[in-house]
Amino acid sequence: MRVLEVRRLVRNYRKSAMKNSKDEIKVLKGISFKVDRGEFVGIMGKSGCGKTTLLKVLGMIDKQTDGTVKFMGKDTKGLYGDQLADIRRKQIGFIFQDFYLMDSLSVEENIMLPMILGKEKPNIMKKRARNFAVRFGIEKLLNKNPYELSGGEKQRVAICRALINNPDLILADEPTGNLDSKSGQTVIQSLDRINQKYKKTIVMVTHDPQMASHCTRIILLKDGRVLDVLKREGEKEAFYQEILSRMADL
Amino acid sequence: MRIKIVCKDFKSNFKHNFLYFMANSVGAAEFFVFWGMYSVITKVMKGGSTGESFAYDIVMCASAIVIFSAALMAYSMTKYIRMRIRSYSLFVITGMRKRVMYGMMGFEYMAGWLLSMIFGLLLGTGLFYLILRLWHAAFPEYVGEAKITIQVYHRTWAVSFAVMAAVLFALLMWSENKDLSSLAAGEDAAERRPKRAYWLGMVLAGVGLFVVGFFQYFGSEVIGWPYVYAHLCWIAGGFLTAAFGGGFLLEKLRGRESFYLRNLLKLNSLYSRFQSSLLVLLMLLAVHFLALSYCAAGIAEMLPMEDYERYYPYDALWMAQEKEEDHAFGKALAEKYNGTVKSIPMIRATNYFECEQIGISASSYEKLTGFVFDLKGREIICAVSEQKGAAQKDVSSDVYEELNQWLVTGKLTEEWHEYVNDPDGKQPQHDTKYHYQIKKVHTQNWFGEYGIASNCEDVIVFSDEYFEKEREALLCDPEESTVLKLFSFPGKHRKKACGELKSYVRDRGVKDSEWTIAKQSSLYLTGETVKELRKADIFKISCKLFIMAILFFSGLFALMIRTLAEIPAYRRKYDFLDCMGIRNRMERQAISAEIQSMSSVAVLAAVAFSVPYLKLHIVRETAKGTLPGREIWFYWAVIAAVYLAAQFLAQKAFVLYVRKKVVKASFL
Repeated sequence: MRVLEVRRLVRNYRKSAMKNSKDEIKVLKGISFKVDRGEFVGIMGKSGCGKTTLLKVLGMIDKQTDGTVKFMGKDTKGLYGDQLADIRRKQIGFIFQDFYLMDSLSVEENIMLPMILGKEKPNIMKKRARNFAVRFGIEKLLNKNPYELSGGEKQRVAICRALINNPDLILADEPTGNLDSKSGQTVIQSLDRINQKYKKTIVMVTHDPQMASHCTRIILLKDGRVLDVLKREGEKEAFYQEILSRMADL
Repeated sequence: MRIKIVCKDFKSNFKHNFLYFMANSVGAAEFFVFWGMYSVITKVMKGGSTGESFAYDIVMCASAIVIFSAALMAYSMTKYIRMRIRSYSLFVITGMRKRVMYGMMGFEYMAGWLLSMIFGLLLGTGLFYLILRLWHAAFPEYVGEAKITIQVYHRTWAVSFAVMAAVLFALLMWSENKDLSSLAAGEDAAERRPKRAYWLGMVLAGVGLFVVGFFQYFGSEVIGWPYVYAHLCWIAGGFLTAAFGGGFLLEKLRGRESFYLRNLLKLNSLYSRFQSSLLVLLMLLAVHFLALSYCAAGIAEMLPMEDYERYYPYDALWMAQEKEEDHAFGKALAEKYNGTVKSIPMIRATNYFECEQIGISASSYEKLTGFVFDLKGREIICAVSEQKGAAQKDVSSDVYEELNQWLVTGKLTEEWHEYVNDPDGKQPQHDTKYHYQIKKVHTQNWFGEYGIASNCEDVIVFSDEYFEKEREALLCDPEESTVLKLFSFPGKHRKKACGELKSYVRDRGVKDSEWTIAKQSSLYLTGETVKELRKADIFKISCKLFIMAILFFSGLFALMIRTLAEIPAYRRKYDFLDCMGIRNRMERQAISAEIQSMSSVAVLAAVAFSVPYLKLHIVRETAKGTLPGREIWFYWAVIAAVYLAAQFLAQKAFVLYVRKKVVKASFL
């Protein structure tokens, strides 16, 4: 089943804050691609090529200027307000580079946040949160606050939060960007496990070829356009080498 | 170059910096206005007790505004300096020396404080004269004009400087214990809350302050400092109870999982911003408590503004002389206009506080009221004139004993005036010939309350033999009143009859003493008295309404300053929650709750503390012989409801404004 279908996606931003200004910055210039269920897709490109903008549009945090984005077969153009909120809460999980945990809430409450927003029953929320915490080895941290955790622990909390509602799609924006190599490895292995064991569809923005080599497919962006699509045929190491060589073209 | 960078950084945060300095200016201006009012109150106050009530209001408001404005200044300067520490820490990380950082930051802070202070003083001066001018224009008989003294400027400077220095010192100490990265990161993630049971000790301290306030309240006259301290004790006690009791309650709420998780976002700001909200809580509690207790109770006891006439059985009260001419005139006047006249032997009795009272004999009092008192020698009864309440209700307050146990028979003369005001002279307390034994103090309204000045024109009942002896001595004095004449006229003739009586007394009656503090006379016309009463009540009510309005807007201003400063943090938070899939309704409710939660806590606490306050007020006034009717509770509830509704509406409007700033105005 197709999770995402993007056709001739365009996203422009106004240069000036003035309403009548016609000066625009073209960030995405007609991107097309598809993501099937169970895929682990990486989006790579230089800084400023539009990776994060693309992720925001896919996550329905931002609206496209032109083109079509279909999520689970539904065109997102016609969706507004609470419909979008419901989709983001139940069907999409976000993992950010800066973790975006609420320091005023405990780890457990942070994990449960999407379910709290959905007004789920407390016993169901707690049970699920605990399950995920055990799976990712952070069950001892549940009563702590995020500011007491290391970067790797925080990102694992964020992963639990992204998974708690059993979403159809996980969007990860540079999830290892703020982590040391060891923590980064832990996180990427977690994402690998989510993809292979739980068959979750993941779209990950990264500039790190090492992290990108875990993906099943890489979309290379250059100047707001798709430069190339790389598919992993064999081992990660070989895929990593292929990515490295293609990065010179970016 | 270094200064250029710092200035650029300052300019980019100008909107926030301006906000904090404005708050400092407003705090200083409020402090200045009310301290200024307080300093000139004895000069501007006129019209006896009515003008005094204006003085009481200013004193009470000044006491709360001092707390409010000091807290506002502390809050704004704390927020400002913490924000700037963040920026300067980044400079230190990139290589600026700490000493240089402290110097530059200190200079910037002092310069900002100085400019905002100067602006605050200018604003305060303008407001002071505007307010005083408006009051004088509206009520010239009660409020005069005066110039503000240099001491008020000094005091405002001193308080503001003390707050500024204390904040700077405290925050520099705080920053010394922090590493650079956490200073640069910004807000403390972990704002501690009182979680353990031992914090309930602070609640007990709050209760202790309530008790202290109770004793201060009942041990004082209205304008005394104990009365003011009582209110300050209650504000402080209320703050400790609400802050620490509330903190403990929040912790208990966490245990109620279902409720807690359902309301997590609404309660989040109370949990996460506990410490930084305490100053705001203090400010809001001070203003709301004073508005709902002192002001609302004061207005409620004067309502309804009814037909006072029903408390005056007579149309005129004339203190005439025991001579044929006066008797003949009185009789003729009554006959001419189909009225009645009652004559009662009387003498004037002047107390140590230069108030003239009406002295009658025990047998006259018995004829008028049916009450029998077996008075001997220098024993007296004080019958306090009470307008609205029931007669012959015992007055337990010792205010009247203090007022009337030292008396001289006859009107207030220059001799007595100099005697009681001579600082080196012998006081009447040391001279037994002026001392009387008060057997009882109770209320009377057999002729009504005349003389708007309080504690004057009360009735002193003497023993028959003493009364006769004193009256005999005063009969031959042409300046002394010795007969009380009480007139009643039919409605259609009333005005004319009273006019004739007035002319007669002006030309041939006893001359009024020129030494009384409040205007007293030998003739009182009910029509004029009632008119003046209404005007006085309107003045008193408008004073309190004005104070309530100041308090209302002060509370709103504090809330706005706090919220406007938090808008960038709200934006970040709600952008994130949008990603998490928060629905519109929940988002609206969460933003409203974030903004209004602290105000709601303050308002609830203020209402809760105002209810027992009203009860105490009624008990106190009853003891003094002023008997607020049962309607006081009803009118207080109406006034409180209007005040709370106005707060609610104003906050709702502000919440709508903030939501527009916070929530993306897009397809979302």
